[in-house]
Amino acid sequence: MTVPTTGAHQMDRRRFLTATLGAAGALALGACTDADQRAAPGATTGRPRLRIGAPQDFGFPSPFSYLAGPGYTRMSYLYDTLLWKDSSGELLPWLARTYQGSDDGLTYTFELREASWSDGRPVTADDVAFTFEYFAAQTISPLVLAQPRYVAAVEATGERSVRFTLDTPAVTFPEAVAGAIPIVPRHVWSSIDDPGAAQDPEVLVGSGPYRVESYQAGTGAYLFTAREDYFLGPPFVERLEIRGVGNELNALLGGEIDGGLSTVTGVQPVALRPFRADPSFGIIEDTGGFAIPLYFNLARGGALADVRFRQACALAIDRSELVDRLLGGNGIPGNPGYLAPNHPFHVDVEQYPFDPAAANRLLDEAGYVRPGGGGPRQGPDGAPLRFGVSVLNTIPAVVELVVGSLVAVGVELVPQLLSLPALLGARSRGDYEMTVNFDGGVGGDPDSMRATYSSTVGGTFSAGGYADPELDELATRQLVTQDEAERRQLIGRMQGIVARDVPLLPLYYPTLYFAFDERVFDQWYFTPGSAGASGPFPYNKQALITGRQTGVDIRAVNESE
Amino acid sequence: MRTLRSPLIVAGGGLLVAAAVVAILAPALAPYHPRALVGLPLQRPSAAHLLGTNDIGQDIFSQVIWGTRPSLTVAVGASALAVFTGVLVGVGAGLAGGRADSLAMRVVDLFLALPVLPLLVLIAALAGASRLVIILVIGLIRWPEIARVTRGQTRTLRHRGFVGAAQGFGAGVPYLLRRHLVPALGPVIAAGVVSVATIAVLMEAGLAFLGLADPTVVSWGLMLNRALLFPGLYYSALWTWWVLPAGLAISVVVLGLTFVGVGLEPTFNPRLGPRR
Repeated sequence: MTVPTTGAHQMDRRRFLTATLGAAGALALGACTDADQRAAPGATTGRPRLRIGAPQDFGFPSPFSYLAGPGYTRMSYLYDTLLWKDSSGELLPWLARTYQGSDDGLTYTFELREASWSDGRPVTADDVAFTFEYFAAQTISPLVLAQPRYVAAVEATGERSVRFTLDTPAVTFPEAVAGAIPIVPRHVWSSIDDPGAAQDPEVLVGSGPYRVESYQAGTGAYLFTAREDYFLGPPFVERLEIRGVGNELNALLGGEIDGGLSTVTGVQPVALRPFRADPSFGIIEDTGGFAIPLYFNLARGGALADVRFRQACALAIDRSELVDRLLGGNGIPGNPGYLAPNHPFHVDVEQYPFDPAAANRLLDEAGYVRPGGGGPRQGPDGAPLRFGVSVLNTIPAVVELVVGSLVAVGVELVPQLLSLPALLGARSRGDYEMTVNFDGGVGGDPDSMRATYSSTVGGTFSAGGYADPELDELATRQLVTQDEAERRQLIGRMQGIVARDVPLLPLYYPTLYFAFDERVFDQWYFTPGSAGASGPFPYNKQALITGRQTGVDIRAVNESE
Repeated sequence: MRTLRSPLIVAGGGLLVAAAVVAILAPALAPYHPRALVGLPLQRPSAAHLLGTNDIGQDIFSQVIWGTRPSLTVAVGASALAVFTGVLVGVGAGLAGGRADSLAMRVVDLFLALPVLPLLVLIAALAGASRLVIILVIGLIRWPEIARVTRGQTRTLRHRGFVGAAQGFGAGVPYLLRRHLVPALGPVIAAGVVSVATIAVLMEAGLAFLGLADPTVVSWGLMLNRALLFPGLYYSALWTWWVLPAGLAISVVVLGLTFVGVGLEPTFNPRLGPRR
């Protein structure tokens, strides 16, 4: 289970993307219903045609101008990577037939399959080398999540063989680079100077399984049709339509789409009731891809920079009750060690079980006294324990519970509800004391811990102002080590440190649900740790191409899976 | 005084008085503290929770009762501010006349052109939407219509014999205001109060509904905001006890204000009234 973390900034962008999607998805209400269109229009080939929904536009689907994770997914239908994941979470050879890494982790060689661009020309090793040169030479928006890291040189050593040289060993290279960077044709892009601005459909020449028939900027409507000459064979799903809808589950219920995602901040069981009640719907779920953390801005100093204060907050908030009340049990209580308990790299760390009396004792000992006349505690310098907390405006209920928990131990929070862009803006400027929002990078490769906690990285989703030399060193070592057991041990130690220091406190990991009409297509899955830079979502092209959940063999129309 | 007995004013006034009583007696009337977690989330209405519980287990009935307070506070505050400012400027301009009058009226025109909701959304987003901010913004935006009407009335009154007589006997502006102008302006002021209060109630709820209000206050708009953000709200009967009561409460207060306003209309504009 690993994720495409090609580096800190990239991780950040990926989370921005998932964040964007979540916010829009959380905007409730919506979706007028067409007449029942649920039966699959079998059309000519009998292969499925799918309609899915999206709450907003994720950009022109070129490798240089898509927006965030969902935008990456759309782009991935047009462009291939050297490697790609299926539902097992393992990287399959994709555009590459085989690959091999050197023992020192500095060299990787790939042999390409025979594949063609959508304009009929062959995909060559030279295109691969060009792709990395071109990325390196351009300035590309940070919302374009998949951008190369660690690569010093790429050389075409034959018509279809290519060699990568890295500037540092990076254990995440196969996934974060070879499994995430879309290969682009030299003959299209070599003459384009500003790739982000190239938004003519003519430039969308890819090696991928689909062509884009139409893209509607603004509404986020996309129409993809299968390439019958795709190198793995004609894709199983012959047509994929992405519709702009307000609330995906409502749209699914209304028959507008064939599969819909729940809000990423979590849902109560009642929101799934209609889909559980109707046997024609299937539901898949994933927990641990998103976290809802409470962030402390340590850079503000005072109590926020005092580890005892943060530990007391952890003791004062009943995270199990948050899951019960907010989600009706549809989630996992937050783990101070950051990774969800179901993450393959998770180790047991200090949990700070709910204990307001212990929180009060800790605050007393730390010198935060309750003033005689009531009101919040005061620090040794006389400053009251009163902090602003900015909260994503789609999850107002969580802050109410957190505020109540902390008031009980003499800590006063002044909540402010902000839209996602305003919240991310405030975070990146350091203009906050505490915040609650969501993080879509927690479920992938544990290199996410480096992006979140290392003081050498920094970014919108990092623990503001936190710096621990030991953690920084471990974060660097886990990236370069080629020894899986050692990496596991290093990441375990990192979890122990952040659980001790609590620079941020995951409150809970909401369960994400995807409900779908089984009669149309039933091979959906959440890719473990994200497919490419898509984020924790269920739209992996592997399933659409093959009609199966694993491998690259394409299922025949009448074959059952 | 006859108009005060019109059925519309009696009905509207009754609704408003009832709302005011609920607001004042909220601590006694509400079975629970509106923010306390007093039950499991999403309970159906029962004897223990007349309107069930919300998404985190707060008593919805208690919230509806407590929600009366911010609505009425904003209504009273904003209309008091608007009337005070409006009467001051209107009467001042009407009595002063000349350049001061023209200047005041141009300012009034300027303010009348301001769109209230977009401005409020902007201010709320930038400065936060505390109740005080809402009161100030609505009060300071809506005074001009009151100023304009009072100015007109004042100019008419100024030329009436009794005002001239009082001035002849040496009456100053404060005396004129107290004894002659304000009483004569009564119906105009009442209509102004109703108009501003209606806007204030709707704006307060509207901002909260848009998620721009102080999230720690219990208000009808915030209840609606929370309910409509809830995924799957319409997949069960949940909305009937979570959305409807708060929406009805807003409607009742606005209806009360509207009745009173329409009831006052004949005094305000005699041509609409019954023939004497």
